[in-house]
Amino acid sequence: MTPHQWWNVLDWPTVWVTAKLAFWTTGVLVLLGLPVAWFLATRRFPGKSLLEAGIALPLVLPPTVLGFYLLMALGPQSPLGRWWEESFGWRLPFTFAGLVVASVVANVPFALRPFMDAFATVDRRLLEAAQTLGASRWESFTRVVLPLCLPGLLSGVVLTFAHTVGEFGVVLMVGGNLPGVTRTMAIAIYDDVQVLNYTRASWTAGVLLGFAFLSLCLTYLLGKRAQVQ
Amino acid sequence: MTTLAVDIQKRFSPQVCIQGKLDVPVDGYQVTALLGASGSGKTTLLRCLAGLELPQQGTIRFGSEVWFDAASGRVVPPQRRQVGLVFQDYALFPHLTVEQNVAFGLRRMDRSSRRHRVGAMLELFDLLGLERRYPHQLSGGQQQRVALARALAPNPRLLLLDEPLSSLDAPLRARLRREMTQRLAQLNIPVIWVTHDRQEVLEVAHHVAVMDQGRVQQWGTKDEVFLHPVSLAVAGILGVENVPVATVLETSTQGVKVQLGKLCVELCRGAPEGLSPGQQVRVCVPSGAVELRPPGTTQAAAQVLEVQSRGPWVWVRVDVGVELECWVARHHAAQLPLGPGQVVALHLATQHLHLIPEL
Repeated sequence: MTPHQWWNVLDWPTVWVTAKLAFWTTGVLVLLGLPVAWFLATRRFPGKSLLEAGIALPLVLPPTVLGFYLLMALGPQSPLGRWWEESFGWRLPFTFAGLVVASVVANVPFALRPFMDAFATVDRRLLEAAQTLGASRWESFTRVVLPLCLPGLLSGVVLTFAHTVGEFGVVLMVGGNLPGVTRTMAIAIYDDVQVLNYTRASWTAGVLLGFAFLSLCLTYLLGKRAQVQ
Repeated sequence: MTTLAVDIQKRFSPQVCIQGKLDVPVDGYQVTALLGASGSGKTTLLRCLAGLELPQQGTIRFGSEVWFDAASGRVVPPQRRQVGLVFQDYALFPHLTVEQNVAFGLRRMDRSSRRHRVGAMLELFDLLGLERRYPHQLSGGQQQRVALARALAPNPRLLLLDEPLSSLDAPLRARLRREMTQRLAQLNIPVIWVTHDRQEVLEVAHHVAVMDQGRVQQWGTKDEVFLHPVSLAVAGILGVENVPVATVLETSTQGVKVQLGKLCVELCRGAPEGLSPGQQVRVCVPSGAVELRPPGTTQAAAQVLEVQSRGPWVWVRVDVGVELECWVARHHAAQLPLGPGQVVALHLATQHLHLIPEL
């Protein structure tokens, strides 16, 4: 098969939905996750272990279980879903926005764990030194914490992105399988195998395999850089 | 005279409470040492001064400025106290070069004055040629100088040093101590220097605060504190070699007469109030106040108990009814009968003795 054919075999709307979902999920998790991870890494409070266990839950829960609860929570059966429908006039399940919400929840541990681990390695005295040198809290965060944690934070970003690209169960439960709207590459493979389109399934699978491997290479590389520092 | 007036309490638990009351002179170059064993609360007190810890009670005033007042809830954050702090392990920013570390506190300066200031600090602390190195590429002594240069670059009003030399080798420590004090004197900055090393205090300090059990037990000028410790514990921390028990014979307005073993000693200074004849007290006898002479030259005869050669000095323990330790220069020791059991004459410099009314 020539590169030209390879290009044509891939289902591009599906690739686009997958990439869009990964970008949105990662973006939301960076914006929400950094402050939360900083808070969790630097403060001690009662019930912290419970909260951390809750954050890790999506790691061990079957994706269909998580997807089922999310579908229930976002749908019109729940107060949250009803509130959303009354406020905006449409329902979250089986839409791209709903898919992003579900994907964010499912990926919380993939972003927060690396963020927290990175933040936990920062020596508190460096922050205190920055403070005595006149830096505000925000300045010490941007001039000391962020540069020191950058490799760890980036590896969290890469993991989240890669994991979102490969998510199957949650996406199927909450997003359904609407071509061009909520169908992602992982689901497309399943569909293709169902209709015996092995060629396209193998190309899509190959792309995902290559992407996953590259992502992991990148996180290990970043991990090594963090160690050198 | 401007002073840093501290009177604070920080409670960690019902049992553990750090208390500090002292006045630190902050006009120009003056080193105030905070001396105490590890765990005595020195570092906590220092962190309260920097604003990194908040006490629960009391006040901290820098001249007319209130840095902390528990009653009114006023707290000046560390960023605005203009205080330089050097951490025990320096806490250099590992992702910044020497130059960037030193420039860290100069954010608000314009570019050219910042360059000028960094250059001046690098030169003063002998760091030229190391500008582009990262902290992990420096020796311990170099790191220490970077930490000092970084803390001093923003021109703080007070420098706080937390055991600044404790992570260095002993020979290097002695040299750096001299270099450091010369540079700090050149910058004419007041310094609070936390240490557990009394030799360091004797070399660098003008004032001393002695901490024990979480409290500042005594503070004053170096000589005042070293010659007149207020308690047995303080005398121990200051390394007073002999603190024997004596009995008060008589008191008068001029001084006190005590029976110290076989010796009758008259002390003119430092006699505490309220002593009565017959009372037992402690006498601080620094080894430097004990002099051994050839037998028969003074009235007091002392029996030699133990002799140890310690390089150019000879350490001797003698018995005059109480045991006393002292040092004799080697060339002088040759002229004395210093075998165990032999008898020498003993002279006490009574003006350097001090009474502690506690047992």
